[in-house]
Amino acid sequence: MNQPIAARGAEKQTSTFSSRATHWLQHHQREAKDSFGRLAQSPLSTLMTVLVMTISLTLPLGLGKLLDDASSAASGWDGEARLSIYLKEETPAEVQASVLARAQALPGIRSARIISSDGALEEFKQQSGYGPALDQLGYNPLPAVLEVFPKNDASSSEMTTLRDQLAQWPEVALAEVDIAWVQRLQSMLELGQRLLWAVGGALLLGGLLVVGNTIRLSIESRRDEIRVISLLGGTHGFVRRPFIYMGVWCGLSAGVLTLIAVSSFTAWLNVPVTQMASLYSSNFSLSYPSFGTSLAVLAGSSFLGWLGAWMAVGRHLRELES
Amino acid sequence: MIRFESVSKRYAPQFDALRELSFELPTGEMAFLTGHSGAGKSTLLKLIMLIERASSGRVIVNDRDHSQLKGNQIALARRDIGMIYQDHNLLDDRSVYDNVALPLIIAGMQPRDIPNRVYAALDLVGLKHRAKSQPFELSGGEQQRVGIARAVVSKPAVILADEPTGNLDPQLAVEVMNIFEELSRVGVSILVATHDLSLIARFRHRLLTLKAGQLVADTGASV
Repeated sequence: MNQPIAARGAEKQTSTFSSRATHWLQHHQREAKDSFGRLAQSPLSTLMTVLVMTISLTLPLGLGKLLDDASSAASGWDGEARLSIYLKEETPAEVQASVLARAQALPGIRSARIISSDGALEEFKQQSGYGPALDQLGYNPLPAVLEVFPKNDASSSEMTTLRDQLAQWPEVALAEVDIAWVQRLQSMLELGQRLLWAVGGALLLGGLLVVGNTIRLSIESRRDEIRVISLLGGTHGFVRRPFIYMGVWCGLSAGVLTLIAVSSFTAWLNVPVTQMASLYSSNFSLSYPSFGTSLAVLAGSSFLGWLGAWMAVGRHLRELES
Repeated sequence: MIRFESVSKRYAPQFDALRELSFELPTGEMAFLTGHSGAGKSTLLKLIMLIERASSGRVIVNDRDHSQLKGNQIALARRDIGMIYQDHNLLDDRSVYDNVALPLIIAGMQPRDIPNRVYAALDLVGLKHRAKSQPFELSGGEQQRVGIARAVVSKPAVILADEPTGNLDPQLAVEVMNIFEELSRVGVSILVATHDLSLIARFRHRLLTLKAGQLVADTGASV
């Protein structure tokens, strides 16, 4: 107790930039490790937090992937959209050929073909099963048809414009484009996208609040420690650091579980989806999260945890200062 | 160095904890701060520690105007002040060593330099052998000495002590005051808030007396 105080007294902390940077990194490492340990000390509450965050991430990610896959499939179907141009009765074959040549020369056309009135009748007989009845008619009521296939990226409005253009030709009796189903599908997909944003936003906000609440509880249990550190000269960054790492750990864990959950659901759903697609001669299947998507999910979920922790600690620090 | 320039502190709605307080404690001087409960001693210490802000006037500590400090500047200013609390403010989930090391960790000291400083501070208060103990395993007096070790470990320019000898027996109280005297001799400004008149009489340093928020006596001032 009575040891002399040799050359003690006020002393300024002096250190080089590199030593401070090293110390800063070491402190980050220690806090990252310690905060992981603190989470592990209360496994049940940590698990609950991570699971709620996982759910709030899995639903928007899973729905988003489903919509993406549906959009990809729908864009393939878009390519099959066609215009049916009914030519006037008695249009001679050479005029039909001329019309076909002119149509093929139009911009925005992928292909075109003529179905002669005889060919149309034969096809209708085979598909409808009314062959004998049609034979009783004694004449062919069907006109020759010019089938036009626009390019795959043609929009609904471009197809409508093309139809109006073809309808002006003197050989054309009627021009039709069946785009209602395309519009309906696109509307549904757009609705789905908007619902996804709304639901996803609400769920992510829920995740943010959950991690914020977890951090808040941790802050409550360490209130004295924060106060003492603050009185000893701990900066806001120093006080925040352990809680930020707790948030990031929760977010990162939720991100990993989200990827596992989405991949598992995709594998589970892919069996009936591929079976159904094969019935339509399609090789459509649901896609798994790509490497880029996985990285984005992990970064996003970590950010969510970081943000929740930042907000919770910030609020506490403001209370401490007031 | 601590300087108060016409400092007042008013708590809502109309309670004046301090009124037009002016004094200066130069570098290396030790002073006692006394007064009845509610006289304003704790408020004065809180203003120096930046726990509270003055309603008017200027509080200047180590050439920093405390009314101008914001955010992390407050944290940095606190690192130059060692505070010994009446209720110790030790962290029970950390060992004595870790409690004393905390100001050094916060200040960003190299980890390899920390043990020597911590053990020297603990040795100073006679608790080197309790380094691995938890605070709740110590007596009140020992906890107070850990608080003193924590306050001096970073060699601050100013030490504030709020009833530092309240939990100590007379012999230990004298030893603690001897430590403070040694620190003041090497340039540390020390302000000790106490009710202990026998201690004040024995050490005969400058005495600031507060009454109802006003400085009613300043005896033995060197400036």
